[in-house]
Amino acid sequence: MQQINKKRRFNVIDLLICVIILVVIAFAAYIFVFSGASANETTSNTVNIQYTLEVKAERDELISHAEKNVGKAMIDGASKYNLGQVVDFYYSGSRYSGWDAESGESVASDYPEHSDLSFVVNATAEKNPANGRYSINGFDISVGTLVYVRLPDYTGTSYCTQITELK
Amino acid sequence: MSNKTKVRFNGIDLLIIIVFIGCLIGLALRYQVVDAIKNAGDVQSAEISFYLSDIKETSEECFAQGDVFYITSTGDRLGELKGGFVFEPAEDFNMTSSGEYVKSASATGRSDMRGVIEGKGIFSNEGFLLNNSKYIAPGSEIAIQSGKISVTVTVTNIVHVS
Repeated sequence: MQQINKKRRFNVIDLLICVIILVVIAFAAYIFVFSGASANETTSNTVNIQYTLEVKAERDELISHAEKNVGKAMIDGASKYNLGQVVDFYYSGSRYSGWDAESGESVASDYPEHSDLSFVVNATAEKNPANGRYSINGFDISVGTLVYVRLPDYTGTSYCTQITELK
Repeated sequence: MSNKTKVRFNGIDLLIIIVFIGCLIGLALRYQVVDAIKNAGDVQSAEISFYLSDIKETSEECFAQGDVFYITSTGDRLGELKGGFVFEPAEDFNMTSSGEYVKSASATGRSDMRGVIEGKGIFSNEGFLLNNSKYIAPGSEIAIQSGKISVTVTVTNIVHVS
């Protein structure tokens, strides 16, 4: 009588499964823990900053909605990071740069019914002493950074145009 | 002859189950299921005003009071088109020969539309959450569709309807 003795051995497939699981866990840990915390900042200090986000050429009918958001939290619509509190809002008519067909010279004129909106935001940031960059709750920001403004009464696409450190 | 293989629950099985549960939690977070469940009790009606630019004149026939619109990317119900929507000649911005930028009405028979869709959601501190989960606010550009047409509209106002 033949006896079949099946022992469960740790084989290549098991090893492969273990490796895949470890990779998935490591990736998830990276996404949830490190990406939001600016892992490259090992030595940083906390500072208060004020920065301005500018939305170019927005339709005038949205101004009244945008200005309702002073005092509200500024959220980046893509990353969902809280980027501080809106402390001021102002706007000015958008300008269009054209050219005179005869002389070829540049001509600046109003962009009808469109305005440039500016949100002034106060936030606490981590300043990286190595490169001077600011990070607000893990969101790296500098002049030129794209921010998808997400506020209770307004949303739009903006760029950071100014950052100052508050004393 | 005994040929039975005993199946035992081992460490690998446990790991697989944990990863599987992790994936389910990840999906729930991704699609904001938790938020939707949490906020399910506060659903209110809202009038979502929108602006639609530069459509063909013949497309005007694709809009009728009561049409239901859905968000194209997710299939979520946006709401029902209310009556009173208006079409006007599409606004056209052009540079003159002297370099100035001026607004005029389209000369090619294209139209802009303004209308209101009545939808449901919650008014939270973060703004209006359509169907309890999708954030929209004045300024949002959203691709929507009904059975007859697909368009991208700009939200211009959201007000609570009692």
